[in-house]
Amino acid sequence: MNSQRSWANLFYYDRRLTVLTVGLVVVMGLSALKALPRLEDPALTDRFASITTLAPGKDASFIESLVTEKIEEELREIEEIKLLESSSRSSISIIIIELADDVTNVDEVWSRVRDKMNDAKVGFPQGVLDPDFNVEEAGAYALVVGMVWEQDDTPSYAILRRHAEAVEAILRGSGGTELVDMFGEPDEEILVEIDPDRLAALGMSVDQIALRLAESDAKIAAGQFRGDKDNLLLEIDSELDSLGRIANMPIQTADGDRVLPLSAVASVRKTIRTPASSLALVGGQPAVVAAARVRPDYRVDLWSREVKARLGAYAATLPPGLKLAYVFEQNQFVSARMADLARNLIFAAAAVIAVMFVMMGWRSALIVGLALPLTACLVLFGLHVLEIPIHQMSITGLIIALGLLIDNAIIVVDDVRERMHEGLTPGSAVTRMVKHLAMPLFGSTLTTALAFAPIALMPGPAGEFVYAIAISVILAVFGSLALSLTVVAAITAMTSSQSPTGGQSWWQHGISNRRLGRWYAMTLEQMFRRPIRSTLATAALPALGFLGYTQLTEQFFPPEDRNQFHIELELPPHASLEETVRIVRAARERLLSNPRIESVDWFLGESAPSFYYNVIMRRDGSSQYAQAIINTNGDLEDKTLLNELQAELDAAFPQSRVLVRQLEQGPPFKAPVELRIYGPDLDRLHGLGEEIRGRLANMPHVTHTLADLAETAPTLALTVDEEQARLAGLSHQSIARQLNAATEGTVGGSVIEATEELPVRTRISAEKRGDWSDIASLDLVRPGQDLPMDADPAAANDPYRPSAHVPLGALADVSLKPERANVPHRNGRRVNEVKVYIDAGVLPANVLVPFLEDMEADGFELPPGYEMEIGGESAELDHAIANLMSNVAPLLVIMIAALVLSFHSFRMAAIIGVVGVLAIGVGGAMLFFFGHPFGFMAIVGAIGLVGVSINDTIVVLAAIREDARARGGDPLAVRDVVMKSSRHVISTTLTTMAGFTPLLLFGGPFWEPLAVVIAGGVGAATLLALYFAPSAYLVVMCWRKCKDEPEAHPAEDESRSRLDLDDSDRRQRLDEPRERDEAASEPAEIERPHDLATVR
Amino acid sequence: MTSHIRHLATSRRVRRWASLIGFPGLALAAVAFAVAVRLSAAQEDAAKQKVEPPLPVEVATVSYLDSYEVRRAYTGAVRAARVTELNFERPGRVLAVLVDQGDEVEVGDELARLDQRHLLAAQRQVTAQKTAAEAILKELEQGPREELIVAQEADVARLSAEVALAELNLKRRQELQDRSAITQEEFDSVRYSLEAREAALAAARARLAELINGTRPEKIEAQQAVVQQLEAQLAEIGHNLEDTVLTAPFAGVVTARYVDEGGLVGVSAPVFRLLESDQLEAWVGVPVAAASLLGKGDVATLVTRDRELKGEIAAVLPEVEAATRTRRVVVRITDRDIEARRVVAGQTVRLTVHEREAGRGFWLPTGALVQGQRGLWNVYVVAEPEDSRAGGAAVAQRRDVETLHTSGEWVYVRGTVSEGDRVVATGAHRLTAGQRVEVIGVTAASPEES
Repeated sequence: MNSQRSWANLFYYDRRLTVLTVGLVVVMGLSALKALPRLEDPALTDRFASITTLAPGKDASFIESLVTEKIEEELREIEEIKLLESSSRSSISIIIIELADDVTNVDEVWSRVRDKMNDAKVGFPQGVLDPDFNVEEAGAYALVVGMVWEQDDTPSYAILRRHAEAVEAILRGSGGTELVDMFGEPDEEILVEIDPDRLAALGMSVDQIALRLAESDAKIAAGQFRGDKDNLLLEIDSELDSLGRIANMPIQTADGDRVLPLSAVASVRKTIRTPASSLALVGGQPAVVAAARVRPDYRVDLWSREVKARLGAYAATLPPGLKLAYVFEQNQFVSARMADLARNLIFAAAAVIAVMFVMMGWRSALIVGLALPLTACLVLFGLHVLEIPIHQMSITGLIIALGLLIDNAIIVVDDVRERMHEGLTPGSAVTRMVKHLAMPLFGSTLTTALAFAPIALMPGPAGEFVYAIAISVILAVFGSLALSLTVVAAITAMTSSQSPTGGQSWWQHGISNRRLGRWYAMTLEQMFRRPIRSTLATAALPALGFLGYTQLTEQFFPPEDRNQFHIELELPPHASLEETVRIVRAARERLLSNPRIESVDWFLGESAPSFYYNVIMRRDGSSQYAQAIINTNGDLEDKTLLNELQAELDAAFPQSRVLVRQLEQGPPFKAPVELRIYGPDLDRLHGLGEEIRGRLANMPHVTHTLADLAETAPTLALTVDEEQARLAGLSHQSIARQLNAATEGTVGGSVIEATEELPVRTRISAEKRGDWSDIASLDLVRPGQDLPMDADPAAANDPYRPSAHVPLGALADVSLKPERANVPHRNGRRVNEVKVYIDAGVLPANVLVPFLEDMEADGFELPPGYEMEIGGESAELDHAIANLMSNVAPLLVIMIAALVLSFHSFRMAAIIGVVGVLAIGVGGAMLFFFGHPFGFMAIVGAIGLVGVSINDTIVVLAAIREDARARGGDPLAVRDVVMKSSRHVISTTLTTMAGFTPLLLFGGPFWEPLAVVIAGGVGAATLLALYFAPSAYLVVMCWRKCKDEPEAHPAEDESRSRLDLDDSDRRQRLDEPRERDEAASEPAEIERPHDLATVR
Repeated sequence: MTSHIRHLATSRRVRRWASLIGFPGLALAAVAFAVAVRLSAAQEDAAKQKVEPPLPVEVATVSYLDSYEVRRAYTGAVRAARVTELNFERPGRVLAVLVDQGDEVEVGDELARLDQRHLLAAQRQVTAQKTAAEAILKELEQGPREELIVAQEADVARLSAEVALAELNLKRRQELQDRSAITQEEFDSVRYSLEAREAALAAARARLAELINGTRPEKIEAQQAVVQQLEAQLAEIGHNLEDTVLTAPFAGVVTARYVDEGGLVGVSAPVFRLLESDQLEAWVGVPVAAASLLGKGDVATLVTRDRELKGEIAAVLPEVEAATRTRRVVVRITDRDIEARRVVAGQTVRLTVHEREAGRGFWLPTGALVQGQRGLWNVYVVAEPEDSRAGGAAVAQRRDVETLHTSGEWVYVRGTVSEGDRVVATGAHRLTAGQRVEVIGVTAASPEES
């Protein structure tokens, strides 16, 4: 026995090694499982950043040419930037930067961007503030928790904020928290509201008061007293520390003979900044919301448990009237998703083992089944080493791998048992098996790995999203190869009997049917006798599948099914936050009247916290905007609810644009369909955009359209009569300043309350600032020292003289003008982006394609100098496919090289290549048949399918090559070889299909296309491997023979075939020795059924 | 055996069938079937593809007006109709201040008093002088006494006798002369003695006549004048004495007291500020254009922070104040609130001016406006469908409008819209031209209705 020992059967002879290896693998897997961070979705690299530049009071075109373009010019020098999108709005310039997909060292690039930004800053005109650079963190918040004001009165934001800040501190203080953001948190401030009349009487301006406030706030050091013994810090005890101090701040009049407290001319109070820039309504009640994100290397379930315990303790101390409410907990979804995937995994494993049981008997099924958990452990360990967290992609990779990794084990188990049945000792059976199978198995594993490699190597966000699938698969197939050749082979050898003396019941060896076998052999023979015809016929069918692709609609990623969606609501641009609040409350009532809706939480004036990884937060400071997070009871697989709500809300709130939006998957995009028109002239762009909108608006499934340039900022244009203003002693500037003081106010000084710094805002009090027509009646206060003394001294002494006021209407005309709200740029060019929102559950391509056809039919053409580009989902898909394909070519070469080298034949490699291509066709047919759109996951599936189907072909072709007669082109020999391989091939196919069953059944629209392509495709690909590949082999490798006469040497074939069959298939051999003779020729074949019958 | 044969036959048929068509044929058939199933399903899908319902909109019906009202408010201050800074007309030390800030006074009430001592002394002095002058006058008016005349007459008589004696002597001396009894010297001495006596007599007679005629009137007049002057001085001092007491020129409220007892006040230094409280006015600076709409006697509404006041325009001053570029409009407040002192002088009020401006147009809510080309506004008009493409629903058509006036949430516009057109009133930012819409409601079409 010792003589048989070799490296190949080490595991068989050293059982301790086997046991220890199994133990080690299990321990590695379990420890990795414990340590691996768990996320819902993969974390994406922060490829987006924004540069925000404020220039108060400047209009959009000023901002465009003097701010945005300057920054853009500088940024263009950075080649890592893929996309520069800017919007120049009045008073603000926002530039969004997206880095190229292949950039991984983002931090270094961001620092260069920062430098360029600072270079651009030098050229800014006066009045433009410093630009602010901000990297937009990708990913969703793990916990969104609101501090809710439950009383019915007006909320005290001072109280709410303090408690919300305590919550923020708890979140921040917990280990694993990456960042905490606050939402709906109005700015607190001290408001000094000045009575303009009294101020005018004092002969002072608001600016002066603000300046005095700032001056009297000395938060600066005043040196040190250095005595003989002590050193003491000197401090002027003058900080503005309370409302009282501000109110009592002395104000000296212009003539200097009176000193008044500030309260004599102004009211001083602590308030929130009005109008508030953002609000949050949690459950319809005002709230301040804290949202926390977890570090990607942290387990969100552990984090959640800890944080919630601490928050719970804090909530217990809250006074009545305040409540802590959880708006969103990612953990629920993560654990649900994990449980779901784990269930799928177990189900898949069970299905695989069941198939094994049916195909190969219980013993083999158990041994092969053992490979599953062990490989899973290896994969988990591999993920841990590669620092890939557990999320839906890596787990799904594991599920996909289930069907594939089992192949190696099946082949090994089958082969070892076969050899032992042939009489070899277990040790030598293992050795032989390793010797014969190691290379082909390695080859097929390698091709599978190579097929999945483009997904693993894919750059960009889509790549980051899905690459874990491929990594899992690759880890799994290599892991299973290693385990199969060592542990599995050893255990098989240990447990199998050496001779076929065991019972012949199907549960021992798997199911078999003689008649089926016979029929199968017959079809094979038929095929191989006319290889050219068969090759063409079998190739024709999958090739037809390519037609299926032409019928498919495109879809990047299907929408998410979970029980959440969001609503974006936008009022006309001049709407105030109060109006938005009113509408939003009404909308909530309406939504809640639907029994399927459980909660509605609104965020006003800004985007809701990103509760899902591709819900991006891009809106800020727009009072007419609101976004709601809505939870339903039960998953939203059926999107009709959303469409009903869309129609209902459209009808109920005709004054606002309501977008009921499902959760999408994959990298984020702004709208499902985006059409961008580039061109130089804004008016023209606007016109073209409106024309396109008009066409789109009436398309089926289009709910709303929106063009960037259609956004209007109604502006109150003040045409100042300069002469009149001069005569009144006022200039444009002083008018603007006064208007600003009356509307916005100026900030000077600050008050520190515990840890809060509250700015002091000085503003003219005005009874009504809401009504536009009041602007014309707004009083400008003339600077006191400019007043000419009236002839009448009594009048000059009169502090109430009306001449202190100049109504704005006396100096200026006020008119409402449409002002371009936004001048958008994309990569430095002016663009008008038309966003199209569509019904939930409808594919963007179903809208886009008819639209484009319609345009073409109408002969719509853009004027010269203008061009259109399609963005949104389909562009993202194209982009992702391009990324995916970017690595395909080199990998293809490697794959071909591997095949050519392992077969030492270009022709063989070509056959396998053709099988690969045809498999893709089969995938298309499957998608078409099951009615799935052509999306990213389908492509991933198609790539995987290529790998799997090539595997089968390799097994079959390798077997043919191994057999001398078959290699020579003998159809019967080929038949026998194929027959021999069939059980492997069919078993692996069935296990693959079984492995995908859970995804097929419960995968939802996200996984179904992939499962359909692979599971369905593998079925068809098996037929390719069994029928097409041998036929093609015969055609290609034995061309002359085929041409001569396939049935030229029946006698020879006959004798050999019997031998082969006897060798190859034990069960076939049992059928009938005589049958073989007849099977060789046509006439004999006719007799065979009769023989069969007599045997019975 | 039969079963064998039958079996055989079946198998053969199957086999032939299989060999005839072969596996590819079977698969092809299966695929063809699948494709057929799929295609019919796809057709069903296409048939089921619903046409999106038209977008619900609210409309306002256009009704043209010929003019529109513009409401503007201008700020002014409430003033008392009369406000006086009271002061003494003469400097002096303040002896007594009789009222304080906030006291209400009636006409003629004493308010303050200055020190009078110097004036009183001067008064006494002048009175004495006047007495003296009057005495002299009286004396002048009385003339010479009787005794003087008698004495004078006696004197005349005596002198006459002496003249007669001297004549006699002369005569005698003449004779003597003629006889040259005497010397010429003696004769001349007598003659001159006579002439001297005659002159003395004439003087005495004149004296007598003077005495008889009495004092000259000029002298009396002069003395009378002296007396009158002194009388006037006395009157002046009397007035000054009155001026040391400050009295209220009209009923009102003392709103300021600038001096206290013991202080010296100059002529121009104010002592009190007196405000007429029963009549208030508002002075409002109104831009020229708006002011021309206002006329004397018009009823005006003034708004304070918390109440509305009725008033009547008392004057629109015909000049533009250089400093404020406005005309001052004086509004007399007629409201009863004044009596209750709920409105006080110095309060800021706003005068609401309703200007009616001519111009054909119609009102729309501001939500109806969307940006058009080149600085124009657009509105969407709901038009009946023209073709089948819109699926029978009404469509939104874009129309240009120009804004004439904005007032709060409303705009007054004119443009290519006709009377009775239905304009999308709210949420126009959602729409685009050609979009199918469904009218679900009609909103108010003017600010008055809403």
